Amino acid sequence: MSYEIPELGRPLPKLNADTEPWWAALKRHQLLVQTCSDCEMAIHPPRPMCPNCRSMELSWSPSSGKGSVYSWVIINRAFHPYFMEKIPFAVVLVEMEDGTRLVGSIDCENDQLEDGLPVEVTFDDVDDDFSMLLFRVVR
Amino acid sequence: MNDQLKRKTAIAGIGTTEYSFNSGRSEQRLAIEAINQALQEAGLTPDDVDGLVNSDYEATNQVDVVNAMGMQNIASFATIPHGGGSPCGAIAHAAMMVASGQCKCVVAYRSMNERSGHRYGSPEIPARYDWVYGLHAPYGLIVPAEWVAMHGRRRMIEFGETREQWAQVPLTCRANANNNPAALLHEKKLTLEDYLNAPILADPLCRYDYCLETDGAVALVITSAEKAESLASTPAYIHAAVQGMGHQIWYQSNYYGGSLTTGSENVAAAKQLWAKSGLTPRNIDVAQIYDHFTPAVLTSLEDYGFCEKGDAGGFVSDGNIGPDGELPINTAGGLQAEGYIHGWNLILEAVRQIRGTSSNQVRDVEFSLVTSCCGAPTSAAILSR
Ligand SMILES: [Zn+2]
Repeated sequence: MSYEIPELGRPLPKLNADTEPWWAALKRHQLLVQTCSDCEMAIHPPRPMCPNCRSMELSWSPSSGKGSVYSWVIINRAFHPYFMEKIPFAVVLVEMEDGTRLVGSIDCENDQLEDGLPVEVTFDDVDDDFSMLLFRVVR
Repeated sequence: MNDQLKRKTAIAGIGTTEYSFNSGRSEQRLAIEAINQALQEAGLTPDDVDGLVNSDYEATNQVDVVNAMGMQNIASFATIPHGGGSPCGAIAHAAMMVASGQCKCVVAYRSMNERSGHRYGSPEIPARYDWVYGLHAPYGLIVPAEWVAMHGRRRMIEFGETREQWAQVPLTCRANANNNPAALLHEKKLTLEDYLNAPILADPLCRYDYCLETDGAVALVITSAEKAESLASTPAYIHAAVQGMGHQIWYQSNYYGGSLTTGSENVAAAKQLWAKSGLTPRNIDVAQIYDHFTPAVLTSLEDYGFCEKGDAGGFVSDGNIGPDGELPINTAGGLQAEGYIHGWNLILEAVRQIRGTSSNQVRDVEFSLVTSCCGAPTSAAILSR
């Protein structure tokens, strides 16, 4: 039995006014983190209020881009056509120096992955509108 | 805590269709069949029903139920959100509707052609992924198993859990299903070897760590305790029924605040459950633990207090969850082997354990626990005889 896999590009996010600045910065190859102007808590995903002190004075700060692998999944069976040719591939959850966590791809062998692996962010250009997080191992 | 709901109401009727991979019928028809059966076994008719409760993921609109069954006395209705987190929340809301005097007889239902129709485990492939999904889908985390695998990995990192330990959850569910003629996998055996040799789909999860995809429907009738005692069926008293939200919380991907190995929503629900019931985990004779994915069962056993945090791997592999164990779980086969009616079929088995009609009946059951989904705003209930 054969069937055609529809031509579909990489899945993309739908933005709103709370999240658009974060994504726009990625496109400029800059990682921002939403930061509370009152208690300085770093917040991700972006939201309208600081859950720590309930301030609505929120701003964007540059992230150090550095963190460590907190968990990961290796996808061996893909559902979305875009990923079918990429298996097996890893998706990582990285704990950043500022305490936030980010999901991204990683540029290493799957068997290299371990808890606490130090990484830093790079940017993977998708199209004219989007760049994604691609972590690389810091040696 | 003085709980105004404690033992004031009861589940007076249960109904279910068969569980299958292809029902050959509409979800509306499945819902009506299940509701009809639940009413009939209680000796009630659609004219007795004055309240309706369903889930936000429900395909059968309440008006389709009313229109088909000729219900003319509906006085209150509610829809409980958060998918697999909703089932015991539906019990809680139905109990509130009855105990407050707004309703005398509430029907709660869930119907789905989840295998032959739209499959939750398959991607929608929308043009764009909104909300927190948009942070995950671009990297290939698209379906629930893939999101939950991130939590499962963290259990292995923090607690040194092994797949041999995890296997005890699907093996227990399957052995229970092998005794339950109504279970979808009644005739299919599962061995440890099968489990360990299975392809790892979303590493560290293999296919046997996943729940089923099922066509079917279930329904419950909730009345006052007093009324239930006058009806044809054996009442399962609603001793406690609670919801819990937790902080911070998304859907199956609670990556961004706190621990990946604790369900803040479970902890919130458990805290209320024990306070309102006046019970402790030691009082529970049998439990139906929401088993959409194996690691979520382990996290739930800890969060509800059946063992210490980090000890669930040992707890399940020391024989505690089997039919003769300290805490028999998922005695009809659970969502992994009986069927997956989005967690609602677990409630029916909790009722059967009170009635003494389970195919894996635990002896002398006084308190029967059922939980809803770990990984979303959730709910739990304790039924009593
Ligand atoms: Zn703040």
